[in-house]
Amino acid sequence: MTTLTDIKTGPNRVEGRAKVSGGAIYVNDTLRPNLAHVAFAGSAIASGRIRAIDTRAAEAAPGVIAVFTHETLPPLTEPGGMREPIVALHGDRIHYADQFIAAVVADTTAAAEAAARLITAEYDIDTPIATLDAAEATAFEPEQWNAFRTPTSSRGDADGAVASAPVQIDWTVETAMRQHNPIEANTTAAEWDGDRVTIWNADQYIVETMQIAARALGIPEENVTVLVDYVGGAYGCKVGPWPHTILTAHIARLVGRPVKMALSRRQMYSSAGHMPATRQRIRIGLSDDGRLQGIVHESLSQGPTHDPQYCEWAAMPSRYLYDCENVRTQHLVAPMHNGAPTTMRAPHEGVGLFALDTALDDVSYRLGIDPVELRLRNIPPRDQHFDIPWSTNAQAEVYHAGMEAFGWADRPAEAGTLRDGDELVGIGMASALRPNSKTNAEARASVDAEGRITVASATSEIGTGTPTALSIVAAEELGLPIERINVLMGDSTLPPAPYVAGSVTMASVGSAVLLAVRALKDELGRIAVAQGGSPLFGADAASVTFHGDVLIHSDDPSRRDTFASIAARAEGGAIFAMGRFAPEQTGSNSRSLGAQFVEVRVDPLIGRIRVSRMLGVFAVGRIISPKTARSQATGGMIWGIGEALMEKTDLDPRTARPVNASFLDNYVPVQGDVPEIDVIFLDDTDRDPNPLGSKSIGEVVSTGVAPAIANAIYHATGKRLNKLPVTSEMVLG
Amino acid sequence: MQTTLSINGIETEVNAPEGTPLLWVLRDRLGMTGTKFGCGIAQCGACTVHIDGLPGRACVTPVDSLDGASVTTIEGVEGPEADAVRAAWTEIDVPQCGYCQSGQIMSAVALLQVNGAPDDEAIDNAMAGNLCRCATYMRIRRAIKDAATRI
Repeated sequence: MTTLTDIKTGPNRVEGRAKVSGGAIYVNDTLRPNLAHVAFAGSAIASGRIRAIDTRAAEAAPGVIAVFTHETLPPLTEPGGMREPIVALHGDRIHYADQFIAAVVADTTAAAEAAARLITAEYDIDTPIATLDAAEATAFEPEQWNAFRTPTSSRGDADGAVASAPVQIDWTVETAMRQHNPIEANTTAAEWDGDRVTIWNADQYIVETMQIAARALGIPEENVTVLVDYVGGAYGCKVGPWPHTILTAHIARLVGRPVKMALSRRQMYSSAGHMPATRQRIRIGLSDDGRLQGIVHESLSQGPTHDPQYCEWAAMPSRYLYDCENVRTQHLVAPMHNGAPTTMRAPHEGVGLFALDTALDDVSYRLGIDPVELRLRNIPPRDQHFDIPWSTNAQAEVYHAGMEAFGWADRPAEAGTLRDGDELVGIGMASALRPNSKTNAEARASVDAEGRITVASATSEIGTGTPTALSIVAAEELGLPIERINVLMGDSTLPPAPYVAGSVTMASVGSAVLLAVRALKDELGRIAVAQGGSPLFGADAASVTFHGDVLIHSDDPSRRDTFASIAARAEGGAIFAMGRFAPEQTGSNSRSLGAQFVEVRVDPLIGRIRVSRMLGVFAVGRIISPKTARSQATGGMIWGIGEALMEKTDLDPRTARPVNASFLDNYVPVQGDVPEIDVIFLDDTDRDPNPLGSKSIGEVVSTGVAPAIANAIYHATGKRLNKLPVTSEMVLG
Repeated sequence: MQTTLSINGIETEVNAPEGTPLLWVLRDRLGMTGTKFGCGIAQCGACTVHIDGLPGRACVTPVDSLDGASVTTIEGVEGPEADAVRAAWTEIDVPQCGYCQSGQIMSAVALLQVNGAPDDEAIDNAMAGNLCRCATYMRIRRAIKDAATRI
């Protein structure tokens, strides 16, 4: 059964009012008495050493309180575990352009930024590695991340199967270095009180920031509180602490004042991560009737020279999207002189699908098999990578629902045959894929003497709708309206929550909230029957039933009590319960799946490409919060338009400096780029034990868009393009 | 420099160095943080306010250019268009992270004040300078049309 969701279905976002009135507070809105401001000066070179640094003009500038360099900054106690392994101002080595070489503290942001520009340095300059071609010679195999994210894999005889297959394709694609580009730059404020510090951080992982800050600053974890009301866009670039976060807290202690720091827009292109560029070669062998015989998928991804950890695991989709017994994958990292990469919506599968699903599209034309039919013939009966069953697999339903809703049957099979006036029209599709992820999380549920119900967990709201979804989870379990639920988040002293990334929050924190609310009900029943003043005193706890926030004796309905009364009688006037979610190994696996259907219009004279219609079909478990889930889906699909047609950070091949480090020329989608978009969520409640039945949504929705657009461009023009972003020049060329 | 201007209907005297952007005065001096800093070069629209009734970018508007002007911010915008936009924005779930939304709403209200029934092209043009990285654009288009019917 399919559900075509309407945006007016479901509860409104609980913080919606704050976000339409200017009342939602972000870190840069932090106002503290005597607040000082930090700005970082950046390196003019991308590789080498600082030979000398001159801070005199900056120190003499108006409003300047202090200037710190690697020569004058007292080092952090234990500077490890941050999003990049080297910490600026802790040595003279330069690893990338714009790396911080000094921190200026001043009375105002303007004074700090002006003084930072007065800092000059002399360098011993090394020739930077600034292109994948130059870096390829030193490429290395990255370290394994976990049981799935491994550098290589091999099942069956992939190379032999490809070589002996009657139909073969050997296809190389390139994907671009891209930026998260949140409108709110990464921002930190910090204030000390003795040996305790409060850090306000635009952050997707405040628990980790608390832990790493404690070690780096040499104080116990209980002395660090990390707070954030709202995060102004994240998409991966705010997962825990970058060095600028910890350095800001360090500097606040050194100057004895609260301080605030926002990365400059330019620094957002070097010091807060990026999606690395990849070059992927994929070789696929098929039978004449379109069954996959073998896949060899090799990926080279752009790394930094100073971080051996991050890899874009682009060959992943070939391991678990389609039915193929012979698969070999390989990942290599090519170190370049750029800032540290990090996960960006949607990592790994999002990048790798461009290779796999454009290759399959190409071969579908050669075979004369409809592109959707080709995918329907290759649905994996089980997880062939781990050789275990799927707990759910709605892959065929995804394709069928998409074909029906998009009018796929009306699409001519031949490329280059659809026109509308002067424009060439094309219709294409691709699969969408991410793992269904979940991890440990804790939450607390409580009720006070006024009957206020609160659920709390140290997650943060980055725009995905977590407070709304958690309210819904608690309200449904209690049979109360969501207005009755108060959600506390954004405070590291609350029960620990995981990163708000990797699409784990609903399954993890949502499940913890559900377990906490169930535990709260158990606790209320247990306490009521033991409370002298309760009408339920002396009853068997098993005979107590819950009707909203009223407890009623099932044999004698006149005996009843309320949450508020039970809490009022309790010590402290409140009752608390904890929920702890830890995913079990169940012997089965599941995926967050989907398909993207796209119509494009190409002006053959000027090469302009417009996406004119989109449909996303997703099998992503039970939908908890329809409005915010749908917003995630359309936002992710538009994110994919950016990936397909716009987003690319260019490094100067001589200097490794980003040449388009601003919104002026680092393009992202705008209002006029966006067509009407439909979203279908299939009924796909996951039996894999997560008590909510939900699955990962936030990333899968953005995957598959780029290959679907490239496939639609092929259908419109007959041009098979292999580089992201696709540009007008490529269509004309 | 001494400048006298009206901010959300309140006559306000500002003494700031020549060229100080209006945005800094609003946020750092007056504590009105609803108007956001995004890029500082009028490329993202997060700082959109109304200056004498027209949308403008506070980050590149010197406060000393506003002597005698009337400035309206997200905290002060009111009237049928603002009410309709806020209602539509909430029901249609326009904001996600919300950071750009003060600017989006100020641009949308300004559009509806001069065009009571904007079509797609008018919306695309009026909203072209307001970036949203969560990509709320489809709902912005729908909410503006929805708001037009509520006024």
